[in-house]
Amino acid sequence: MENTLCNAGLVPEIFNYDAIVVGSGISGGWAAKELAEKGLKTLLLERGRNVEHIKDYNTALKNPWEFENRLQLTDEDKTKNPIQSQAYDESNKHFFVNDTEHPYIQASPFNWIRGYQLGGRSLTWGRQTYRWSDLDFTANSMDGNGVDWPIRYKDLAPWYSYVEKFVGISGNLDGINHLPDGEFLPPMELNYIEKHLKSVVESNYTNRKVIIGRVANLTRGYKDRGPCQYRNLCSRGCPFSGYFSSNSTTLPSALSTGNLTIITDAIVYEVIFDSSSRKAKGVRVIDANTGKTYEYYAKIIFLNASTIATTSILLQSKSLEFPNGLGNSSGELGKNLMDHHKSAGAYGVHEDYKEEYYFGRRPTGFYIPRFRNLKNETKSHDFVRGYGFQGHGERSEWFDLMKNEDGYGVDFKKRMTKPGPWTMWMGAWGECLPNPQNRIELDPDKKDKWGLPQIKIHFNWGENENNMKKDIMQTAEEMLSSSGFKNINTFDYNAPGGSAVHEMGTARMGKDPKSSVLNEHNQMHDVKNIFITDGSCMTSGASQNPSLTYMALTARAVNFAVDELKKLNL
Amino acid sequence: MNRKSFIGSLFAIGGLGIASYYGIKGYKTNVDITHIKLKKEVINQLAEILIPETETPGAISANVADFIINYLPHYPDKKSIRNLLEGIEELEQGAIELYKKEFVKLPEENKLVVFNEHCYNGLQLTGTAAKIKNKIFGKSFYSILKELVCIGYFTSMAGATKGLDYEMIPGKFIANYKIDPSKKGWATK
Repeated sequence: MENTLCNAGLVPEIFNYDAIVVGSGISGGWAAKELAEKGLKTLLLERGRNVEHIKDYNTALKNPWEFENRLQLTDEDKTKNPIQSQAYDESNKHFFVNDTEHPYIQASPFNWIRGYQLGGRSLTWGRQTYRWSDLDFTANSMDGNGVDWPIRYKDLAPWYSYVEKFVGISGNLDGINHLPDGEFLPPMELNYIEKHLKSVVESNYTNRKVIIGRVANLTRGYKDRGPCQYRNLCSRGCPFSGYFSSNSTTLPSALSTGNLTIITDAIVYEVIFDSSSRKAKGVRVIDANTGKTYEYYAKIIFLNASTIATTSILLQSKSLEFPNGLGNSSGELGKNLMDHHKSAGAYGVHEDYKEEYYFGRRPTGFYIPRFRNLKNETKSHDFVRGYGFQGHGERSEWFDLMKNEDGYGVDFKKRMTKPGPWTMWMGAWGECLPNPQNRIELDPDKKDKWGLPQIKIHFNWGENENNMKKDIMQTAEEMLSSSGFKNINTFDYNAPGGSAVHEMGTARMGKDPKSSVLNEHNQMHDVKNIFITDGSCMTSGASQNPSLTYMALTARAVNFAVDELKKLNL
Repeated sequence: MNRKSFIGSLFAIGGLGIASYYGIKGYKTNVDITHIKLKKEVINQLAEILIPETETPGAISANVADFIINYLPHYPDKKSIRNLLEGIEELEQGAIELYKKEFVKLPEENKLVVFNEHCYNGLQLTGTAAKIKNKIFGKSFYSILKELVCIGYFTSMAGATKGLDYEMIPGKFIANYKIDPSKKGWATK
């Protein structure tokens, strides 16, 4: 078969490939594209259903009145889907798993938001794309939390450029050392109130910048995709291919090579270890619909099932050599789960600029890059690392106004149908320290519907994160107040881990095989033909959104893996 | 003192009052909404009081009552559903007691008297106080009615495209967009 897309009920006759990729989200899509373009016969296994680009975006062009519940959540959503319903609405809920069907155990509260379909969460991601810098890659070594990254920015910079040129990222060249510029399409524009904030903040604070969010939405037509139509309905899937997803971008490129086979509804539950060669020889798969099991074989395996899922596959892959999970000679597998804390911030109302508005729905906001602990004068005595603010300014609309406006009749209707005052919301995405107590494990007793062990997640924010949140509320309030906002409310939503949907860690990269799972090429220390380039590999969490770094790490790791394969080292 | 006033007074008294209410009455979250369709006309009338027909469509033209009847059984907060249903019953009863007529058959000025007495009465709490009260007792009759009418109206075709301005596919973003006072708000964000 060639250019194949099929589900597990139609298993291709070919069981041997050059490479297997597990998972079709952002990093899996990149792995498949790079491997296929380098000439490797590649099998991509996705545990969820097929989602065909454009054709399967059933809600993308619906108007609000065409939804039965007018986009509102229902009692059933909240009771049967208590975790996922925190992230979805009626228009995109079909791109999230069902909590009842896909249970996990919260030893402490943790929101594990998932999308089991071709494309995974690349269909619903926030699309914020920021490079990391050596401020991030040296962070662990500087303050002694976790282990040192085995790479530095110079190792990744060309790969950031490589993936950015393919993805298409709108952004401004801001010249900020610790938030390096990239290969950008034209930036989107701050609106009036955001420009006002920028003016005040940048004149009051020499080390704070207010920039337009860098986002994987196309501000011009690019590689036969887009441009963005400014609908801000991205999470329904974009029929204009206006943003980056596996479905719109990497998978079509991979399929066009003729080297890629995709099988959906295929749950990989084990990596097969060959003790004689000390290599992985393939994976075991359950057909999600029939329960039948299959084996597929390859020379190299890329695990990109997402942070927690990838590690759970390895924990399930037990052998005489690896009784505690494949690649776990260090004992680090499952440990140091991280997320960004995005609970704290501030909100305010501005009474001026009533003649200013905007046209179109811009699918990004503003970004205030990290300004704490950059150097001595910005050093905090209460916490290490830092946070970046993401936010947006907007005029209040009916949905906001109905919460506080009272009355009835003509006057009420008039107030509800006019643009309300400018408001601004800013919340911080803060770095979470690696902590071995934050971990996942397999429950010995509870199973899912396929008989696979349920995952138990242990996660608590630490003192560093909690202290950071206090500073966040204070600095947010200061910036809003100095910019003339009134009725400022600071907030801390006390959101549990996972709420940022930036799970990272549990199979970290490191220099020492005794304290890490992967080396500097995302190659497993213990089993050299296994590569992990999803969020599991992250050694620390930084404060920037991580997806761009997954993409760059993936392209870099594939390049290394294929070179090694050619040298007969794998 | 009607039910809403009673709950309001308990809230003013504080924890002791709340505890007493639980002790005296118990707490009822099971609600029977099987007869909600029979209330379509009164919901229509109440919705139109909130958002009347002007130069743009009102709640009746936007079929707001149909949305409320369809969505209410699925609304995530049973306490608020109960408050809406009991509120409607009390309002209808109030019309009978005051005017010896069904609410829906009253002249407009009499409807407003009953609406003010049984729905839009008293101080509307906002902010933290409202959140606490809503959590314990559910949203007030007026609050839940307002919420459902607004959602039903502003997400309807008539409300979104005529009551507000709606652009399904803007195609561009204009960051500095000067407006005059007649400009309507955008229907979607």
